[in-house]
Amino acid sequence: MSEQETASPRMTRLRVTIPPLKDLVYEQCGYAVPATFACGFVDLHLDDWERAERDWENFVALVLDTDAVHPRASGGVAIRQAVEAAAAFLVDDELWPWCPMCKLDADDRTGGDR
Amino acid sequence: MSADLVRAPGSFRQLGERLLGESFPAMDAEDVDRYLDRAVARVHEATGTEPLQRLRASRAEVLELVEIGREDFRSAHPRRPVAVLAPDDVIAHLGRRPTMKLLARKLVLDFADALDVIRTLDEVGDAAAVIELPAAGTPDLALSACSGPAAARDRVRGLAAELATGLTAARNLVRAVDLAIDSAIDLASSLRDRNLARGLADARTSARCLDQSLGLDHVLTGDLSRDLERGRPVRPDRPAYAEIDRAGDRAHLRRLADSVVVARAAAQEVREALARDIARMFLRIGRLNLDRLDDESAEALREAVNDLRGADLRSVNLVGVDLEGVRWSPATRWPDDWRAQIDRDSVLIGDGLFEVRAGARTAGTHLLLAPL
Repeated sequence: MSEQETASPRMTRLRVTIPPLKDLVYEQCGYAVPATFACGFVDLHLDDWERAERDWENFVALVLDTDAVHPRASGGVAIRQAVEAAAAFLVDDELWPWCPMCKLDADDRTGGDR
Repeated sequence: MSADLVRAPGSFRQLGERLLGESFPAMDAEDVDRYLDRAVARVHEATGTEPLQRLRASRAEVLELVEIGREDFRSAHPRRPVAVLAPDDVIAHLGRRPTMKLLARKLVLDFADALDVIRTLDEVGDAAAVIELPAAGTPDLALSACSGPAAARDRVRGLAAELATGLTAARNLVRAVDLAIDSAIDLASSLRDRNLARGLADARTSARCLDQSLGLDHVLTGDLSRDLERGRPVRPDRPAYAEIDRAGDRAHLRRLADSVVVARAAAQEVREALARDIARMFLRIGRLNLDRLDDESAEALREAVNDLRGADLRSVNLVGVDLEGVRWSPATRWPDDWRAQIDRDSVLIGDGLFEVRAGARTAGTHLLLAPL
């Protein structure tokens, strides 16, 4: 499984990585993400974990370079803010589940028309 | 941190807008905006950061938010108004907390003493201002009696009697001033102010020099009167006459007045410092109005700190406390270790009322036994 490293200018000795979806399944995972987010995201990708992981990491990498992460945050703090912002962005009452990378949404999963 | 180390992030809202547009081409702009508003709110809730809104907030909006926060804080923590105390309030507070009387006692007594010193020095100054030194002295009269005709002796005798009367009056005033200065020195002994002590000592020295000089003149005038009355020869070259120095007397009188002024200014400074100390001691209950600390209130305060009738002092450490003048009743609860000494040092002054005698001091003889 490929891991996206942070693009922090203050690179620390420890290589901080984006947490995989499997690490976000449990409530005590250390990140404030909605409880059903990880399972719902994988479910959206028809249980294709590798694809779901790839889309998730790519999306978090995009969020890392936005103002959802504090300009002076770096390392684990920046990753945490990006992960939580990415999950919060996706889990919406009206559209969830959907994937901004592969353009899948609930209708694709159920085979319905968009 | 230099500027190049700080990230220049893109807009989270623009990213979301682009992704939503790619994923849901049929979504109109309003729906996208509503989604983004909800998403931004969720991100803020989840991460504490506030994308877009943080960047859009102007300085005025930030200041407005800060002011709202301040108002909220003020409403949640209203500032308690500081009570302005009169001496009566302090006395009432001491009545509720008798143990505090022992703490405030030295300050209050010193303050009252300072006021007494000021009052005494005012009286001394007034008395010194009315002291009139006779213009002519005994040597002049002796010379007139000796060199003039025989008939002049009667006239000189009358003048000598007048001089003796003037000297007696002046001397009585000087002695009264001397006594008053003595009492001021006694009162000021606990105040331990160097300027005040020096001023009072100078004043007393001047008063005593003046008294001595006037006394000598008075004695010599009496001798002259007796010589004239008994027809004895008058000796104008009598050596004692040389010691009569009326100019010196006037200098002593001036120095006396100056010293009193210096001592009074020093006493006034001590009074103000003590008043501030008393105010600081009661700052927990309010701000004491110093202008109202006058003679009358000082006397009331002195009585209040001396009145320990019925007070429960069992928990008070009496080591080193000056209890002279304290009045107590059988209902007063003293620490067990001190009870015998208090009984020994007190006298019955009224119906069930005792007063600790002068000089009684609970010095550190019971240091190890004193309750802490």
